[in-house]
Amino acid sequence: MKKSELFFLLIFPFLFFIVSHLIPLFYGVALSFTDPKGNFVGLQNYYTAVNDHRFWGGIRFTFIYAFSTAALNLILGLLIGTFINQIRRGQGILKSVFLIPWAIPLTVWGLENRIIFSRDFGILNNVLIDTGITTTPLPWLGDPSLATISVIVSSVYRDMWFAALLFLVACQMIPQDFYDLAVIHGASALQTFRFITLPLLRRTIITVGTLLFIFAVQAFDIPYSLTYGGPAWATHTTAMYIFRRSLHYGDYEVGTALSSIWVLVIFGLVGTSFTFLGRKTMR
Amino acid sequence: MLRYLKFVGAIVLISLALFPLYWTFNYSVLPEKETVRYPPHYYPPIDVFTVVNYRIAFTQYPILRSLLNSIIIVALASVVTLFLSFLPAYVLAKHNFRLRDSVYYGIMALLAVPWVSYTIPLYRVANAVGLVDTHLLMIMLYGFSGIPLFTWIAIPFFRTLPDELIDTGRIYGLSEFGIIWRIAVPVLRNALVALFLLRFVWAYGDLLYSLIFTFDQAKMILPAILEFPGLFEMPYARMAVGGIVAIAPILVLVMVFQKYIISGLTQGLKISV
Repeated sequence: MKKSELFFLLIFPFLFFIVSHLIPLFYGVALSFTDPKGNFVGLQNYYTAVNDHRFWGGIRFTFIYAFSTAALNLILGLLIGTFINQIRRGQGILKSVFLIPWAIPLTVWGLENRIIFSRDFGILNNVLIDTGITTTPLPWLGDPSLATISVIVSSVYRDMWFAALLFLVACQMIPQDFYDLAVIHGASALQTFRFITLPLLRRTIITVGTLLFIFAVQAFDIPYSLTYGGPAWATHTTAMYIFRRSLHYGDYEVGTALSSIWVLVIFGLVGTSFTFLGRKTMR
Repeated sequence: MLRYLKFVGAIVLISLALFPLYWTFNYSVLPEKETVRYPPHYYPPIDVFTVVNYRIAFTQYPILRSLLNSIIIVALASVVTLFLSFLPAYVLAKHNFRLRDSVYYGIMALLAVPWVSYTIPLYRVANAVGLVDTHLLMIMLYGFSGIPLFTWIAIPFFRTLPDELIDTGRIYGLSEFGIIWRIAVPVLRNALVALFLLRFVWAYGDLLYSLIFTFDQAKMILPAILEFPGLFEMPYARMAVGGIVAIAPILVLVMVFQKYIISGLTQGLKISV
């Protein structure tokens, strides 16, 4: 085994990533200490960034969104996945159907959900009024708290099928003997789920939960296409806010300060959760 | 009774999962004025059914060009990603060296970096060298940005490669690159297809880079269809057409190759009990 060749196979591909992404990332950090003319201004941009209440509002919304979507996707995915596992025939069809929402780009999903959530013409209000749940049409995208709910619902509605699919595949890896034994010992369906399925799915739950959370913290597409961060900045995720403040309004230097803070927040979070979950679980 | 309930449950789930796609199609074939009514049409009535929205979308907007841009850029970029992540994945899966764990955790750390933090400096650089809104830039961006994730996803596939095959390759005097090219790639052909599809679907569905770096020549499909809703009008039928057009290629791909995709996701994301 030639050391130099292995080194080359490992490092050479990553050079492309380093040059195209990591070096720009550090260039961005350098930019965050300058003004638009390139003069060094110390921590001035960071001072502006920390005092930007919309940025903190964005972080707050991002975490509300990330925790609720990850939790709801896990719970609903687990329920649907284990339910489908009980069905003997037609699992193939269900698997294909569950892949369809996953195949639809998030942007398209958000854009089309605007039609469903429309206050005056949408089917959601139509169904809610016909079933008597509400009497007046609700402004799903026009009210700050309702829009928060709409963004979360829209996102979970798309991703829970994907979570269900992964849990279904994991369920099918559990040896049938375990369930046969449970039947012999007279376990109820609920007990079987609680004491066999759930503990054996622990690894999958941690993996899927982590992935969902990491993707959710980056959320950009659905809020952008569904609410465009509105109304009144209520559904701005951090990524969206940084994008708008820098690339949209041309405030690049403050934007790089915002994104440096954001990277530190994420790394703090990921670092803590790794120590919490233990390094081995992710391998 | 229980069997009946399960059947009903399955039907409900199928309908729920397919509903948004159906609803989009429903609106895409309604005349614009039939979309702003209450209650909404649950299906397109025969007497108002129309394909005029498709004609408007394809003739008045450069949507076909954007669609082709997306497909070409994403397909080439996926090949680049796969090639560049297979090499390190092989080394990390099949060789032991002192810093291996550090490299592995380094890759995981890269996966957590928020994408938005790359965009501002990247935009400045791309602008300075005049690459903004070019196919070349987009192929490079989507080709290189996937390297850490796809190295990580490809490792479990390489672990399934028998060591005996690698040793045989060495006996026949193959270099390490030769082992990857002549042995790993043919043996892991299915994995290669699966990873290509995953990369294709994810890059095609990305909005951040396509929105920031393309606006005219290389404009991709997602920023293109986002221009349908205007500031003061909400042309639902046209928006629905945009959605159907953007979904079509990816839906065909996913339905034809679904077995590869499911196995790719399960193995790549290390789903096990």
